[in-house]
Amino acid sequence: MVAVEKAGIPAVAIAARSFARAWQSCVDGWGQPSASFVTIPHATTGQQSDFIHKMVDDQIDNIIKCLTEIPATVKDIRGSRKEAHTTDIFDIDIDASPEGLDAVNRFLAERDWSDGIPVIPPTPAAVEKMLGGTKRAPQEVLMVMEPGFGLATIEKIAINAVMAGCRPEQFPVLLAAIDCLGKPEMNHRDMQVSGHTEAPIILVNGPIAEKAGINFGTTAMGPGVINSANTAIGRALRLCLINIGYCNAGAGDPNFVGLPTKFGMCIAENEAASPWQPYHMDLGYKKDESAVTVVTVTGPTTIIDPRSKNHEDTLNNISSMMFYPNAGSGNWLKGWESAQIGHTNRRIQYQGPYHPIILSPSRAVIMAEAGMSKRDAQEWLHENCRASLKSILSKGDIPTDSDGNWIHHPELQHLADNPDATIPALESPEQYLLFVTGGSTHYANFFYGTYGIATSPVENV
Amino acid sequence: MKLQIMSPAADRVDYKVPPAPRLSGLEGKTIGLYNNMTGGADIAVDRVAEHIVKRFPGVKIERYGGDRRPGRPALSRGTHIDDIEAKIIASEVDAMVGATAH
Repeated sequence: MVAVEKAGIPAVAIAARSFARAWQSCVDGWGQPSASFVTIPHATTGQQSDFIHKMVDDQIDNIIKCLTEIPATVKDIRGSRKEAHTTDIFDIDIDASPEGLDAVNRFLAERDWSDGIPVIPPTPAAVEKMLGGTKRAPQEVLMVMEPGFGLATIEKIAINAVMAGCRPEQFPVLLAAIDCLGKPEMNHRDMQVSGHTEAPIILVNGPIAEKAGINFGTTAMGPGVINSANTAIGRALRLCLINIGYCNAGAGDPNFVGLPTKFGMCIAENEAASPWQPYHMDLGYKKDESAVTVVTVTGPTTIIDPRSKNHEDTLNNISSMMFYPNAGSGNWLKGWESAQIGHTNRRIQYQGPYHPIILSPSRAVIMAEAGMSKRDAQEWLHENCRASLKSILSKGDIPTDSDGNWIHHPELQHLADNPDATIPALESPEQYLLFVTGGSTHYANFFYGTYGIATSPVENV
Repeated sequence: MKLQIMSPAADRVDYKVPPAPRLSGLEGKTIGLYNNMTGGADIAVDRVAEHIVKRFPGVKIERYGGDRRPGRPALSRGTHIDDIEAKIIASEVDAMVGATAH
């Protein structure tokens, strides 16, 4: 709606009350904090017409008023600067009393600069030490992070890394993760502002995993001292999304109920235990190079696989847990996904989604022992995870040309009248992102990929 | 004792859009209705149109959202109005009512 105002005509939006802070956060980012909107008590989605009518009826006078009266100035946009400037430094009174020990956290919480859990104070000395973990310049801007359009400088990332409990040797992993977010194919805007429940997962490959102390064995995605690097890196990314991207809970982040994985997820591949080559080598990296992949996911679903006697049992078990109606399977018939970035809402396209399947080494071995390569396993899943074409078409909106021919995949249109026809749930085998890690036993975790994916090299410091 | 901490909040790109001039009234105007294709958004803006047409008989209505304009982007929850689309819309209507945050 701000784009419409920018084009010179008045606009007003109708927003559900629970999204009011999200609306305000978005229009702040788009440079018009006073953009007009009215709220209705409930989202319209899933409501009956009469109920929606009643909600609109109650607001119609305000809607008209918004088109005829200049909106009142709301406030300055938090963090907006005309010129580059040095980072603010605050003096906090602390002492050994319970209140004194909590003073820094209270200060940060009052400004919504936290994930809600106590942090390490980002003192200038601690930040300088963190900056020693990279050769990159403190004022280098890695990306403009939405929805707040915050400048992700190395220094700001370092401040948030200190708060999360990162150590300098872990800092390059975090920087590579933010390099990923800065790529258009990552579609980080939708990851940030969607009402869906989803979160970024950081997948690490190469020698950096050991150097950074990332656990890739038992409990690696859980709590515990042996997982402190995993936890700190994942948490640091979330703090960056909040404090640099202005994706604050209930505002820029309007998830309907949130997701525990949003606190952070970071894991490295158990490359020594895997019978297959590591994921980054699938992408062309060398074994002695390090890379970070970020995927936006929901889940996970744990796949319990104690009774499989062979690779097909295991793959059947995995595939049976992955797809469900309305989850986007078969959407590739509509062409590549579309997303937008920047203040101009420039359109970009990306292939999605990618579904990470966190395979215990034991489950990869059962396939490898049967002679399956990773690619074989991906192709098995691609061939056997299928969606009913009829159910996909029932959702409508397959793009067609003026003659009614499907624009994407016209070779499949002849199946449209076959009620029993199925197509692969995903377009390509590699969208089943097999990542071998954790302790070696009879489990896998399936994450449903929702938006983008990107991979970046890790700086060799 | 005092402890110094550095602000974790980023500077934002400096970008401001002033409010567009408002209408003196809706009589004789063309009003755009934009729904972003989330459930019920079409019902909400259609209800707005019912009210406006009843109160201001000379008003015309144009609808946006979905694939209503062949050859132009199918505006939706995932495909927002961009600057180019906004200029086209501004040439077609005098004001816009949108159902967008659902």
